Amino acid sequence: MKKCNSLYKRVISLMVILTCCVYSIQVIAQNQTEKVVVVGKVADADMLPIVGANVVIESTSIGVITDIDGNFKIDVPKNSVLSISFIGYVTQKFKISGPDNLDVILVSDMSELDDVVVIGYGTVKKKDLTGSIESLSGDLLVKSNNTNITETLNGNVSGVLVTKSSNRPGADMSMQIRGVNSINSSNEPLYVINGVPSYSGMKHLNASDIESIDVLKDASSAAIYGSRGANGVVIITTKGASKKKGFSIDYTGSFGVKTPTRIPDMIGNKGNGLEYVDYRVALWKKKYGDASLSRPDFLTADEKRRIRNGEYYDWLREISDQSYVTNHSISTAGGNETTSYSFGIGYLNDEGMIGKEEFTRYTANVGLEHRFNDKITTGISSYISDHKTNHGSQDALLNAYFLPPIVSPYNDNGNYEFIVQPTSSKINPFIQNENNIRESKAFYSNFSGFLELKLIEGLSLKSQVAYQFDTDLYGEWIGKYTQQKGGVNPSEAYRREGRNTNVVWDNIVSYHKEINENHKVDAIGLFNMQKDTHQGSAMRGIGLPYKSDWHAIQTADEITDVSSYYWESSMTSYMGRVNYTLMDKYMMTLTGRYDGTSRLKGDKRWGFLPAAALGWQIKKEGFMQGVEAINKLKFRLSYGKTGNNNLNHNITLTELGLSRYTFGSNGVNGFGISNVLGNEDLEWEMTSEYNFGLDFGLFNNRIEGTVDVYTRETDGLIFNRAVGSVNGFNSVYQNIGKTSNKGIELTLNTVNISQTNFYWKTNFTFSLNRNKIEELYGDNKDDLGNRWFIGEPVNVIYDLKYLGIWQADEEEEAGKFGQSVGHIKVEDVNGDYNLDQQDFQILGTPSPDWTAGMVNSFVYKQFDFSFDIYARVGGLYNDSFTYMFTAWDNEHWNKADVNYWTVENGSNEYQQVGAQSYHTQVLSKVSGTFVKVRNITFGYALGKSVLSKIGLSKLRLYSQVQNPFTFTDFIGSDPETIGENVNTQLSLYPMTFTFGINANF
Amino acid sequence: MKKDVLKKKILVFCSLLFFMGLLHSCEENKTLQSREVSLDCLYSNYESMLTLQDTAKIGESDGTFPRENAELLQIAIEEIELGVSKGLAGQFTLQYEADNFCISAEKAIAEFLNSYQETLAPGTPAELIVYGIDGKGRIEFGSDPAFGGSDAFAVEAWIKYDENFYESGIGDFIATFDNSTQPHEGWMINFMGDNMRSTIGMGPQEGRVLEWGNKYPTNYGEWNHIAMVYDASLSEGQLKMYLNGEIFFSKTNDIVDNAGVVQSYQPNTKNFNMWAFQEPTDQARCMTGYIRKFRFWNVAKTQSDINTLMNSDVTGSESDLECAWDFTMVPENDEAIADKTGEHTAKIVGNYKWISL
Repeated sequence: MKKCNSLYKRVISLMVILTCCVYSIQVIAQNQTEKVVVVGKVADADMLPIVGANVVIESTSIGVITDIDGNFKIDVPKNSVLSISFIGYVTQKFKISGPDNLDVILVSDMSELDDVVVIGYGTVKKKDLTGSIESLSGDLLVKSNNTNITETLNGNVSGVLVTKSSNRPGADMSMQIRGVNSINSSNEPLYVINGVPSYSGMKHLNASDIESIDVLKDASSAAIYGSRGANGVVIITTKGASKKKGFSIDYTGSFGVKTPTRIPDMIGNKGNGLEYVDYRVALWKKKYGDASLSRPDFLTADEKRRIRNGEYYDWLREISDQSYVTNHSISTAGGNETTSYSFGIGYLNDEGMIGKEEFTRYTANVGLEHRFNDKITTGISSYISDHKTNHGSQDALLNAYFLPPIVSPYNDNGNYEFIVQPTSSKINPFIQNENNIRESKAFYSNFSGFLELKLIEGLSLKSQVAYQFDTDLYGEWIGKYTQQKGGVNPSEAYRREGRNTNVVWDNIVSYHKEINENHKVDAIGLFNMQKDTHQGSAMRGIGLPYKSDWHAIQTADEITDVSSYYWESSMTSYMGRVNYTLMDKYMMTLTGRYDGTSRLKGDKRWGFLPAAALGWQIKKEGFMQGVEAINKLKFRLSYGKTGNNNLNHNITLTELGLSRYTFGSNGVNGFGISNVLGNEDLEWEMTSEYNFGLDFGLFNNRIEGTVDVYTRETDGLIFNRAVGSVNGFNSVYQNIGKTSNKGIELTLNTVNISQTNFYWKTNFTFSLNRNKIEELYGDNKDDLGNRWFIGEPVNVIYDLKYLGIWQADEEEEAGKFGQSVGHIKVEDVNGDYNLDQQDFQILGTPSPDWTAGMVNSFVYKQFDFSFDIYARVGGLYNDSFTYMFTAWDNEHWNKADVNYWTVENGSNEYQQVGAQSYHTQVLSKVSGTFVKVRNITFGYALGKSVLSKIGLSKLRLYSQVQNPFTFTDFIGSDPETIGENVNTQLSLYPMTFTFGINANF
Repeated sequence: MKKDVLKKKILVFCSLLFFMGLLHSCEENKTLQSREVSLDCLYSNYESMLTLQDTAKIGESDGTFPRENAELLQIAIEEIELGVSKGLAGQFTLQYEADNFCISAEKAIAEFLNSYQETLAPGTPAELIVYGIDGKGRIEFGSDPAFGGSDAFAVEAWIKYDENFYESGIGDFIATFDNSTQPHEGWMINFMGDNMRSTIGMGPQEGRVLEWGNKYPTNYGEWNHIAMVYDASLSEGQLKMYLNGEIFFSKTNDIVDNAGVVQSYQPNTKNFNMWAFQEPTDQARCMTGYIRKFRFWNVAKTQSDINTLMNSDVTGSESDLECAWDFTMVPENDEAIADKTGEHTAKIVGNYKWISL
């Protein structure tokens, strides 16, 4: 272990040193003398020549552009500065002291790359942006190599918090933008994929197919989506047809080996079984007394034999295995003056490290655009994704944690034994893996077509129809020989499927006008109609005659839980937006959206959601012209209102409830009013937000950044409020209560070193959000039952406060609480020596205090190297894993190898084993703080001379390791999955070694 | 020349790959060695048992040890001889295996000594010890649905015990508890770990109990008055326990079913048995100890009531008193001890002893 720690320390030291160098940039004075000849070549980070790059002698208009091979030649006065620039790349400058031959690598400037930002129903140049929008390029998504691209947003987009449910392949993720707004309804943002709004997430998307992801964070930006924008909007634009001439093929492929890392340390693992026996002796002695060790169930004969022979079984390392991740994507694009097209297909296979866990995805992406003339353009695009997830069995990994090293999965014949520990209820996890199958098959598609007419200069009409169709099929097989059935109860099969459609018709009129150089107007108007339908069914069969997985439920002895549903909703919207820019310095955006939804009733279904934003390019003011250190400075101020339409479709209805009665041998259905009273007066939960932003660029844009400060309030929260069984109803939906979120976000991009052959840049993000309940029921009272407290975050941990362990010198005081030395010590808030709910207090919130991400990228000649660090600091979480494996004292199961209190070791962390301490639930409260090096990548791009021989225009080879270092106090595997469901989602933490190729023909 | 450059680049590339591989190669390696096993306690207990065997007077009259117990002692001696042989043959891997023989020997010695015969006449003031460990003794109070309690009841008793008064899991003092079927039913005053606890079955959801406790008093050899009170009508602190008139703990019913519905107490509806020193259904839950007085009330007593009761006697005619026994003098018939209400009869079973005051 020392060896590892030492390595960690060295790497961390290296990173700290490198990071500290970021701001050590010096400005060098210059002199000009006689002319010298400078030749050179300009290429991008992938060593592709940049054609048309500007090579200019600074402070003059003298310059040249690079030729088709990126070469240039220029006469330069001695000791002058040569500036080399190209749109979308960071400008480089060289002091010329004599004849020189420069090999210049221009690296894309992320912020400038996002020169054009997608703002919903249109785009805007980033310099003219007034709202808070962050963009991620498709390139970054590909480089991050995450199976689910949602994960890449963590640490790369400020204000975004992605939560993983598990590290099993295909596991779901949820996203929050700027905190929790709603208490009862969803806080997931709206996803708009190629113009189709939905809540289906991004799991089905292939990173190679993504052109960009734009995250609309503030209300003024999200107001364009009106009643669905309260939780922010994520706009995903897939690669479509462009006007590119010629033909190109891109291939991206990788192969990775996954291996579990940070396997939690269980007592007696790694062949150290005697440690476990010591633990069991201590546990039994303390829990049951010394005499209990002679009980026949203390150790079975087989267990004693294995101890005698030193046969120990490391369950976690045996049940987990290396697995592989394979990813192939190929895309083509091309076109001529009138027609352009694109086509891409992708395949991904991500195997799990336990049992049959696996995620397989096929994707296809098609785009076609035809320009009849300058006035009429039409196009179609489609995205199709088909994926299958084998979720793996439930309980298998959990059992592997529970089973001690003195138990073996094999019987005397070398075959798997079902009951591996006769004294315990935990069955063989290998057999569980075979007999519990949980699978999902999902299909996602969207198709869209548009016709755009440019009637007069600046005015265009565009009509687009988009159709999304997705299905989701889930099946489960629980065989007789599983943990659930215990080898006794009959097998069970379950099947559930759902089909959703979503039709969106957008009619957009756009107008662009520039009046002399001082006035620029961009306006759009939208009429939109949308209808979505949802239907599905489910059934369960119990007692199946043979192993038919979940495909022959009709053969079951009993068919139960049969259900089906259908519902639909629709929305009609009118929207207008005007962007006005005065003198290229003053910007204003006005947005208004008028939405009507079928999910609400009467006049409450219509609502107007306005927004306004102002921008001021201060750098362009005269008084700033002399400030050379500042290259860019813009203030932004915005206000907007948005709604949350992600409500239950039947929230205004009082429904009939179905009850089944038995009369004799017959079952009869009875209907009565359900216990929830619908409310036809419900309105949208409404969010209003102020956002103040600052965009800046310093030292020739070597340091660029954005700071946003926001405050938002969500009013009229929809509560399912208990009403105490009045008229047969237990609860009623009402608009009551208010929440707020306030926060700061920072994005910083720096070019730390920019030399002829070496380039280093850093991208940094920081996010801080504070969430609070402002009002609940209007009576200024907390809701203790639901743990909602005015002035506190929506989600809090409310419990006894853990103070440590009662020590030997505290025996008398411990006795006053009825506690013993070695027991858990908690705070007696009211000092009455009775520890009960009166002593509960708010301990924290399961949300980080702040998060930060940093990517350092280095280019040296044809080599590139990068590493990605992500930190999440603060937050208190309930974690079942920690609780189970530190608090439970089951006499036959295993436990985490942590610092337990003993007579000799007065630990203040964990109680004495077997001491039957009370208040053990406090152990489940764990800090969410961690720092991860998520990704280290090393790449090499072949030079042109080699490429020309093999007929490629680009070829980059890279190796990558994901999750190499994690620093945390969490005793589980991955601190990002704290709180995962231990029965259904428990997973190991993968470290993945990948070798990949990016090629362009 | 270009080939050399390319070779160098490939070398660097491979070196970095190797570095990445190193990240995964560091694993902690720790292994405990096997241990020396001491046989000292085996020898000392063996010596003690032989001495006892040589000096004890065996017979049927007072002042002797019963022949039956002498035979048990002989079996124990043979058992520890086996332990010594195993130890010398190196068959013990860990110390606990030798210790197990020693613990058995110590129990055998104590049991032999406890069998010393001393007959007291009925009516003699005495205190009762029941050797419940290993299920060898108990008091059966009979079977009556009223023992199960309802939404309000109180149990009070005087108890005394010595060190190591229970072993192997839960040490049951008095109970009607039944966990043989679902849902759990009945109530139990019991010991576990360092704690003295009250446990009551809750339902209708299966597998639910309301259970709480605190560190048990360690004033070994001294009497303690304990009381368990359940009152479902309270909004909090429905389950309370008192120790010598002081609140020992107060526990709010936070037991819910899978749907979050609060569960209620489930009285014993099956066998109606009420036993002391051994649980009626799970008979492995047992303990050794003294009992002086025991009362079961079908109402919830307040702390004030408890303080009064612990300093007074009952006549048996009190309203709400379901049953009451005083074990303060030797009865006429240990198998039929009438309670003060005249409604119930208790029976002492197995190993126990009346000890003269």
